Amino acid sequence: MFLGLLSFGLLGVFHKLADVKEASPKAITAVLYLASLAFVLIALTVIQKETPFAGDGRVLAIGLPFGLFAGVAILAFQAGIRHGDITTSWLVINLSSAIPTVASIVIYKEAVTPTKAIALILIPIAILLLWKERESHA
Amino acid sequence: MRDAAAWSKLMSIAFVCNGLGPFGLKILNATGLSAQQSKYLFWWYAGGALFAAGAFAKGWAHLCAKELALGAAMGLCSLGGQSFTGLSLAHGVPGHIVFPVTTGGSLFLVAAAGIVFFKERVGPYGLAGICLGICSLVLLSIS
Repeated sequence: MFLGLLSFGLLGVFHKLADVKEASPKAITAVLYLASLAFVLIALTVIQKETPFAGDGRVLAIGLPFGLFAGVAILAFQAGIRHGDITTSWLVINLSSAIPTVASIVIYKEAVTPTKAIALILIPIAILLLWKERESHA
Repeated sequence: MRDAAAWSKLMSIAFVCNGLGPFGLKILNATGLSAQQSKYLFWWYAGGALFAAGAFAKGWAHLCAKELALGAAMGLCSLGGQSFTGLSLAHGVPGHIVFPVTTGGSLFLVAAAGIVFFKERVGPYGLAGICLGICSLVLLSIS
């Protein structure tokens, strides 16, 4: 669990480091995804003894477009931190977990618990405050 | 040159697309394909790689060592974060502990690194936003 925390935390720090080192956002995104793809392929074939190319075609049909969205997100994020701080930008991208939550409520009629409702109310307020913070630095 | 309008525009794109990205996993589970998560992860990264490799199509000849090293390290962190979180859940640690710790903890770690190592200044709005944001994500992950 703490290794998970450390991995996600380091990912954010590396985004900032890439910006400080003036690395190209397009290069960083391309290498990030190709490296991840290679690591998953190794894990699948060597550890799980499976091939991603066999099986239900729906997995590909769902995975490919949603992965594309994630690729756009990382490129926009890497390009965006050039104009802002990692402290606030990293939170903005993490607050996007409100989108799948709302989509699950609307499309799959998932129950809205009081905790979920409070979180969904707090998220736009937090984003507004982070936007105000960025405006105050302009 | 830092541009607040460019930051708002790019972060809005990142916010929407990053939110849509994980929704595929929900569709996968709802379609009865939850056992195919490893294969899904492969195709999910393949989708991102296709887009990113296309966007960088003309730049491969000028790829620097620092970009290669940082990109690969970030890929390892991205996959590591997902794998270690999954392993924690598989080893019986409840989700209401795993998700708040990994989400809230990593946010705190990045905010601390931004302030301590990268000397970023956070004003009252930012501080309130960070506290509220971490609280809302912890609440979302336990709901």
